[in-house]
Amino acid sequence: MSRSSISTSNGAALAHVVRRGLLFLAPVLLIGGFGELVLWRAREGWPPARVLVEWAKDPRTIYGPRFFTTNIVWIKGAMIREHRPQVITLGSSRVTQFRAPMFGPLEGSFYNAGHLVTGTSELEKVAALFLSGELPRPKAMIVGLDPWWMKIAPHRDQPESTSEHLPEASPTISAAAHLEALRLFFSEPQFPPTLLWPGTAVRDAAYGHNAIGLGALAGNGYRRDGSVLQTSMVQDYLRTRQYADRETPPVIERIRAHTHQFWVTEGLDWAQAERIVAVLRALRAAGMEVYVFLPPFSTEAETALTGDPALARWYAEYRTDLPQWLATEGFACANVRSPADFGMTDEAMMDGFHPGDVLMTHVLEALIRQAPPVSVLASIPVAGLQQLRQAPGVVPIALNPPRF
Amino acid sequence: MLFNSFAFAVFLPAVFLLYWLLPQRTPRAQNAFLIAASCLFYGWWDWRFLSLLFISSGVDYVAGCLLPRQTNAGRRRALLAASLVTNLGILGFFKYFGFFTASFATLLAQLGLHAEPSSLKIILPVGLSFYTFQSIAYTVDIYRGKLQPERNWIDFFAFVSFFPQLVAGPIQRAGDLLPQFQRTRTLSAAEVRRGAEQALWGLFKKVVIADNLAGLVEQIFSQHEQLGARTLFCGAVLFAVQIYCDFSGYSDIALGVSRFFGFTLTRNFAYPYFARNLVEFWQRWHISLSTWFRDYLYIPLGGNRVGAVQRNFNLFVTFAISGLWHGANWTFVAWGIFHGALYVIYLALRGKRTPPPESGGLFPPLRDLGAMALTFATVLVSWIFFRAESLGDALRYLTGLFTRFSGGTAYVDERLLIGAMLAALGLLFADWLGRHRSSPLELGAWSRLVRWPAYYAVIALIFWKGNFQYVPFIYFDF
Repeated sequence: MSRSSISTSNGAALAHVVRRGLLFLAPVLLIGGFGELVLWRAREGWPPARVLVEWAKDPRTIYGPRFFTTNIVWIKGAMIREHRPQVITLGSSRVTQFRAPMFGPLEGSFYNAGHLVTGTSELEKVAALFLSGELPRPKAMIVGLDPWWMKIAPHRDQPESTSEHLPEASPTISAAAHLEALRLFFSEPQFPPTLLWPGTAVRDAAYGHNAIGLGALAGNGYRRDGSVLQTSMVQDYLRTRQYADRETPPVIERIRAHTHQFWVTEGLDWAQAERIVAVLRALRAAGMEVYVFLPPFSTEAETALTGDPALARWYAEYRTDLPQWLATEGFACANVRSPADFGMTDEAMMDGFHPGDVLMTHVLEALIRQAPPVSVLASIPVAGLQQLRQAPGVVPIALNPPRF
Repeated sequence: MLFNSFAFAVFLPAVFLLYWLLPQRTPRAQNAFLIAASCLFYGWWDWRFLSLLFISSGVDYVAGCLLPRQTNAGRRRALLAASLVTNLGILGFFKYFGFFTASFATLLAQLGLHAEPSSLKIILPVGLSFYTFQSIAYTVDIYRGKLQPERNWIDFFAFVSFFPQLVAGPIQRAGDLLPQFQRTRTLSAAEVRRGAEQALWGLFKKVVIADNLAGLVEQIFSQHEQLGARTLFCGAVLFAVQIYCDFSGYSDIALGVSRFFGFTLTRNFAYPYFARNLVEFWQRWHISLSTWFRDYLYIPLGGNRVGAVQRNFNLFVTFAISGLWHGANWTFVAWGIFHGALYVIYLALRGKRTPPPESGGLFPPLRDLGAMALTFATVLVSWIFFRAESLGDALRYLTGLFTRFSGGTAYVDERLLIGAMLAALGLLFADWLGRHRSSPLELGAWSRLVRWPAYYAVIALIFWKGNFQYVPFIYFDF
């Protein structure tokens, strides 16, 4: 009989089981502890409130966690409460290239709330925060609407967007999130080894910004104005000077495969569209100027969408019928199909559906030109946008590319 | 609380330590502690539904205590009826109310009458189908005189609410589990190790295999009308492996965790996809439910004591009701009827012959291999009914499976599909190698130098390849 099968008293057996269990788990705990150390040194696991403090100390700080990503909802909410911006952009990641310097005299009172909304329900929830006063109301709001928020679902229930759950706005990082972060970290354990030396400055390699998080160390993350710095994509462009669909998986593949946002549909879901327009009406009725932005695709992706019988009707309704309806409702709308609308090539796109910031200056200019003469947006000089585009060093994909 | 959640990872060691630190002169303190832990475990999901658990088990406790004192047959029947009405009433209301009102409205509509089905949005309390069946079996066994009632309410509630098997079984018989609550338990390191091996393997099956297959299966079943036969076949195979890993994974965790506390639960799965015929399949798949239906429905209907026609009818009814138990949808009924029909046909063809015992070797005889493949193919067809949204959907899927050989128009990532099929086959191969043990990871006889690396490898796979998104166990819906 083996020693382990002998039960003497339960106390002794418990001590034996606990000892054996700890011995077995020791390597697992050691490896986990090492991961936690790296994440802490990269400031990945910093409490979100500390990010706000860091932005107050150094406005050029980039917040780019690779693994603890859900706290951005709390952070963006806190930034809006703290800075009470007059102009806000709202939408998915496809509006995150609107940047404060584009807004000229309103530079200091702009905030990009992109990434907070990825579907109709989320738009309703976030709009409700502004309408109820839980978040301070801006004077103007630019709302980006993605076509996949409005799709007729096939015979079975489909999610109405890629992610219909507004992540819990939490100022803390849960233990479960730590575990998940460790799992992801060990799947791709990339970090500068110098990070582990005490006293090493934590700055991104491309711009030298103060970095919070492993993503920020590579120059990818949120700026203080809520916009997103995408250094890796810009560097990739600078290497080739050519457009590439850098999304994972590429947008063009998603369209061809009818996966992700591009599952087969019969057309635009007008009930969803009505809910969205109702939100826009409510925001306007509350005294805000509301501008709508229908974000572009790369020419390649646009051609694929218009030529695909399973998606063409939906896309055509999004591009023609929806803007017409918005116009009858009195909403200014920048309906940007592709960079070609502004005489640019796909080089102005980060990937198949994320426009770069140079293209966004054109979008903003188009909205300013549609704005009423006496309005917040009309107070932004268009010449300032043109100057930004003509500044030295500007490349089609970025206003301020890193040195390469 | 889900077994594959972080909360459970904290809950389990805490409960384990406190449980074994309690005074053990009698098992009562441990049982009371288990009730509290089970309430926390269940209430983590929604504490309000604990009341249903208390009502169901409360009625059975009282009925159980009163039954032996009654000599009057009418009163005895009334007590049994009280238990059945309470348990089946709760089950019927929460699980089937919407289904029956909608079905009734459809029937009326076909007769030209308009009726608005109830718009009550009734939540199905987790575990309801399992603990009500466990409670019913307890009262019926006392009524039949096969079991003495448990008069200590702590022991009884600990038995009904025992958290490892509370929400998705295995459905335990009081005769097996209650005595374990009555005796003093001793902690055995060997039992804890066996439990950990089984739970670890269950967790692997759930988060690495089942949950990673779930997305691909959903993709195939949701756009099956645009997919070719080959992809549809893969979809059916992957769902077969997904549901097996999901449910048997849960059962393995339940059995493993129970061992930590000194309990042995009845086995729920015995490598069902290696069954050589449908009778064997039902002796290996969801064993606790199959035997429940055998003992509390099929035998009371007459069992094998009646003529062949009546017996076949009884089998048919038992399978149909078993299908409905799985969910309030006609697809489940069709699944049950399909199995019932083939089971009856198999019995008729087999006659009095019994298949030879299974060979224990690494390579099965060709005859056995053919029989396993045929049984698996039959089960595969049935799973299409089980998984489909509607009967029409299932029939369209089957039509596509047998006609659309030229391929489809929709796209499924080939590499992903091949990877998933390889993972599924790999899992079945591991099961084949370990089929004479309670789990392939049961390596108790091996040296620590072999065992520990094997455990670490499984932990690493769970850590790296596990899907820790919120994917509830499929059987939570049943």
